[in-house]
Amino acid sequence: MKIALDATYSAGPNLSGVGVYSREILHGLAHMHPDPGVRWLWCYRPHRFLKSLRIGLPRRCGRRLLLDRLVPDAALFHGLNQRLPSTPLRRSVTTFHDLFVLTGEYSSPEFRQRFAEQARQAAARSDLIIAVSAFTAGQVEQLLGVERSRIRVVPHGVHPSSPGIPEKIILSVGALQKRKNTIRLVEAFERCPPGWKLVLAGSHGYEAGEALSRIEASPRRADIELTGYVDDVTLQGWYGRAGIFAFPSLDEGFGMPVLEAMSRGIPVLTSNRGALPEVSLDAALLVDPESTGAIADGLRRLITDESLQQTLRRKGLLRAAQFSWENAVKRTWQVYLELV
Amino acid sequence: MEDEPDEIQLLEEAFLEIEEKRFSRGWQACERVYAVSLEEGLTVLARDRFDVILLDLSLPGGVSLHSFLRVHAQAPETPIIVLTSSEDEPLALSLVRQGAQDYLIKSDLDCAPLARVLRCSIERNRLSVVQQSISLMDDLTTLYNHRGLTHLGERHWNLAQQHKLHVLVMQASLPGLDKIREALSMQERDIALIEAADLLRGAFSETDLIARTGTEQFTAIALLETSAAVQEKIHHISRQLSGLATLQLGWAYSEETRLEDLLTLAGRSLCENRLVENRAGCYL
Repeated sequence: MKIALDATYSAGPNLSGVGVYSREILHGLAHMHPDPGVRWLWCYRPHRFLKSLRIGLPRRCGRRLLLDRLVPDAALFHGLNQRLPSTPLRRSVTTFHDLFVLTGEYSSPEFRQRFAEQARQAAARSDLIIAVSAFTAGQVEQLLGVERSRIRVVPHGVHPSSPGIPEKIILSVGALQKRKNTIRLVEAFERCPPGWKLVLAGSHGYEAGEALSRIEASPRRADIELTGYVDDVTLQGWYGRAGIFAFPSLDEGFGMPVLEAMSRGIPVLTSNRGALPEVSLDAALLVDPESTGAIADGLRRLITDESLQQTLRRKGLLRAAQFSWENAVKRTWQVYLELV
Repeated sequence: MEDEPDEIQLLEEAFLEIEEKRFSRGWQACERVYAVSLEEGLTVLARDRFDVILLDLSLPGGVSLHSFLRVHAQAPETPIIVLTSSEDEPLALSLVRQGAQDYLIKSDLDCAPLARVLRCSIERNRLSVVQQSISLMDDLTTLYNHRGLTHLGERHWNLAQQHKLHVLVMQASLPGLDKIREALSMQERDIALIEAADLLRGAFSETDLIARTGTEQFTAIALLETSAAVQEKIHHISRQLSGLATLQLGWAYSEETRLEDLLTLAGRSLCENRLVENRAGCYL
């Protein structure tokens, strides 16, 4: 049996959250199901196909070019990023991460229009849909009119990692952009006691210019470090040094960095929007992301209240232990088994 | 438990003498109930609790060892003193090894040895019950431990069978404890366990049996009258524990299968919850 997956986003440098998800599912399935009866076809769209040649393929995996009208013959096709090729497919699964393209102005109008249409098409044509959180599942149901019976929730995982040695660093991971609420985070940081540093790790996202200008104008500019995109090793180094993790996003379909931070025993401040309360439960300090005062109060509480820090560290480690990529892969495989 | 009227008379006289003489300091007048057959004795024991049982081994309806085992099973926490003839002393001794507190030779029955044996038996038994209950508890969480669950679970099960109740079993796990010990400290790991135990104590009722059955594992057993009540209980507890980043739950219930099977099923449900129980969008 051949199973084809859209591996496009797993290729190339600077992997986004979708890229990490794609990589984990692709490799996880190939390694956890060494059934000689299954052959995995990793399909790449033209703009990433050449880059994919640098990726070594596990056994029983083949590399294929993916065009909308040219799809390898397979019993099942899995679109890992809420789109499917337009060619008719035998059976199909699509993973939905979020529907910001329908709900927010966090990208260009052209981008939103194009990806919204792709999402609608994929939702209509998929036999089953994987949503990465119950929040996203609800949005797929409400905004795209998909019946609940076609949706399965498969949350992301996190790799076990060692605790670090915390310093007076507030770490935030994610592209500099409106959705990540960078400007309010910077303004809140300015109200924090001196001696602390804010590290913003991530590439420059949609309309990052406004955030960069605000950072340059900050009276605490000397305490703010912009790393740009960092590779995994460097990022893990920052997690190891962080004393607080701040992730006050305006919207998230899952919020993988929150789990990363929890798994390192870092107290987390995040927002009460999107999937973040569902992922964090009571293991993070939840704040209104549209209130700079609330973010600042939350950060100050975390800085000064050692008992709260310790409680969030403990609960965060427990919460992170409930997620693993192994489970995500097993659940994904079980979704396939419903169709083939 | 004695069928011979003469023996009953003798015992009564001994008791009266003890009470008249106030044989030992602190002796309190006691109420005595006589059963003249094994069946009557078992009925009385099922109805009332006693401080001590005097058991004649030659009761009608039973044969020595058999009589003792049935009485002991009916009232496992009540001390039993065996009344025997001198010829049966070896048997009486063997019953002490099986759990009787002491024995008295009928021909030697007098107020002094009777008073001493009664008081010593009650005290020894009290100590033994306390020790046993301590060894059934988990020191850290003060919930029952695995031994406590096995010991008391069987009683819950028997009660359910007698009264045709549904048995609900919940298995809960607390993954991530090792990470807490590694990242924070052993003390923080213990706090996490205590917090989880408190959550369970708050979610279940006092009549339910809750135990810490492994390093990061908890088990609870509840008896309910109807399957609707079972569903309601599952819903109630899940709601109580949802939103808390601590416990993963698995459930099983039945009025038919064996307790061990239910425990296994609940454990499997716990594992499967992590893997397949995702249609409702809930993966706690």
